[in-house]
Amino acid sequence: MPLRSVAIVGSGVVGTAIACVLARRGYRVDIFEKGPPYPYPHAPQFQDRFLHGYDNPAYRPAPGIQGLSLTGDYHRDLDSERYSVAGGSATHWGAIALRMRPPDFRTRSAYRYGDDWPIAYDELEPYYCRAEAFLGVSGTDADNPFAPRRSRPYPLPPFELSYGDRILGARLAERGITLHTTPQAATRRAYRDRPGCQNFGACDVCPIGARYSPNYDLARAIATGRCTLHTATAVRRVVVDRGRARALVVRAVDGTADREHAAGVIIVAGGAIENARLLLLSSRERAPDGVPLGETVGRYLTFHHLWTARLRYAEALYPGDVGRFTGQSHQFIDPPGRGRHGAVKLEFSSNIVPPPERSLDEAATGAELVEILRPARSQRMLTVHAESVPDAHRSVTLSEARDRFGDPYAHVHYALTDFDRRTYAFGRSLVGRVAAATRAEGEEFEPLESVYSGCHHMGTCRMGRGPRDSAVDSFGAVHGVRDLFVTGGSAFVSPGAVNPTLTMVALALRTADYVAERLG
Amino acid sequence: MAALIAAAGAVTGYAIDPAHYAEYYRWRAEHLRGYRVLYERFARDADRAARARGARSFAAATREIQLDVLGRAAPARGGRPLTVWERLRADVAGDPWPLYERFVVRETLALFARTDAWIALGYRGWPGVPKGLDRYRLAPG
Repeated sequence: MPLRSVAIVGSGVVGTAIACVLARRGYRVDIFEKGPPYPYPHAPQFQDRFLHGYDNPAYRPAPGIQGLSLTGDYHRDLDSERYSVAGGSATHWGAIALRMRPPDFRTRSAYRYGDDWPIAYDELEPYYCRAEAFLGVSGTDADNPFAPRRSRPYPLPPFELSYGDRILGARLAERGITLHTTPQAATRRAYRDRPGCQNFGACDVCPIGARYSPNYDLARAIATGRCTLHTATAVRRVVVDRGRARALVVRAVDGTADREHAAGVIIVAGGAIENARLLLLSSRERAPDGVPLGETVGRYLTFHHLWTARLRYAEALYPGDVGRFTGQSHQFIDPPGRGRHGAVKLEFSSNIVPPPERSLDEAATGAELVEILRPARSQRMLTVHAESVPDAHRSVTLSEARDRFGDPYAHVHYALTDFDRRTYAFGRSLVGRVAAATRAEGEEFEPLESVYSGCHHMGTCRMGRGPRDSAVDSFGAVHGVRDLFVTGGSAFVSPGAVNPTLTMVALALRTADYVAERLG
Repeated sequence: MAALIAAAGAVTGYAIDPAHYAEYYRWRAEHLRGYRVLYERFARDADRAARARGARSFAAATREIQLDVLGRAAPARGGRPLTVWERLRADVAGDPWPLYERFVVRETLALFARTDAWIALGYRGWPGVPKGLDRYRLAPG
């Protein structure tokens, strides 16, 4: 087993960032992805979706690969929130790339809820800069008085506010609410060898690579000749020998036999739910060469909590004229009442959403269809993007149901807390303020029960100072096992109110540096 | 293809650019099971129905005649799966019009909703068409 070899579980943005850094520095990297290959740039997927109206089965995982069970208060399809393809969930992400604020790393000290991270904003700040350069983030803090300090400017200029955002932003400003631009991993201008955004409005399958996709860097890592991506290959467990992670047990999804893949370092980067599941499947309680697990593994599963309001206006605001998100407000991501309830980010979506009163299927002609759609021009969807409180009872365990290899799927239990209900009430009050300030003629807000995670799954292998309260240290090193790391959103201690991907990438780059230093 | 494009024009009622409709039908005929045969049968049956109404072909018929021909499938409208009765009509009685409604008319309207409907609503283009970043801060039109 070569000492300078690294095996990575999961080819999403976290695994890719680590692979890219290590492969460039001369390490041998193998990435294992249970999903199928996913072409990049995503022009074929774009053609399927927008030209042919076709849901291509080639991009779905094999049967018997995904199938978690779910109890509690979360009523959406969690499996559909996880894209098992090469590149992972960030092949489809909205690309909003925000830094958490300094107090988000110490909510226990500052607000007496949650727990403090073992790392502070200032330690992570240089890695935020690197993550922004890695992803190609377009943004500015010039119009955002709530942004945390930064040591380097954004790599690219911002996407300015859209026509509709400018109208609403002016009205909000009259009432003391700031609407500002949205930093995002999409190219306002050409960046490196990625073209500038052309406003296709098809961002989740951007055909030209203007919106960042991990597949861009996967290709670059593979081009070094030192990185291999093993698609359609499931990792069944981690093998530990005398306190050191020695190998992965892997099997092709259509195969009949396992094989061991030995590596100098093993990095688990498969998302919060699958990371916990793999550690639980690898537990020493299940096999003598398993991983000795602390009590926190699988606990503190944390989602962001999103609810959307439909605001109706007298005039046409033309949502969707630009595909990218433009206007949002960070004014409430560190609000005075924080601690009694959570923080909230407000986000005007660029989506055009048909009004709910009539189904498009009712239309017999194009003219009828246009009339059904017409009110959508005068609507804006406002998302309340809320912090939740980490709770040990929200968890990932092993399910009774089993995958195609006979391994238990993940079972997720996710219940809302009183803190979450108060945060919902706070968000609802903000929607009312925005509706009044922007002179909306109607507003509808989703009920508490409609809560959506935004595909932001965090916790389950949280970082901390020791094995009693955490699974890993701030570099992602698993307590009590050498050469085994768990990274990404699963290491988060608390979620803050902003989208997690930039923080995940910053932590991944820090882990990559640490691993490179360890391996020499 | 002429009958399909004519159906698109008739059912949408707008001056559509036929290119992306043609590409859509062509791709489905080449890649999805059953579509080529269905499209061919649709063209034949639509022509026959149009000629019965005094037109030279479905594509050459007036919009009134075209809608009258397509109106035969009205009971299947609504985007819902075919009812048992409609399936019986299609499978046993050999009446293909419920299938035409579902796989030609409804899919054409769905394509229109994703594309030309945006132009009818005053937008500069629909999702999937590169619009550039020079003008999105201004009102369309």
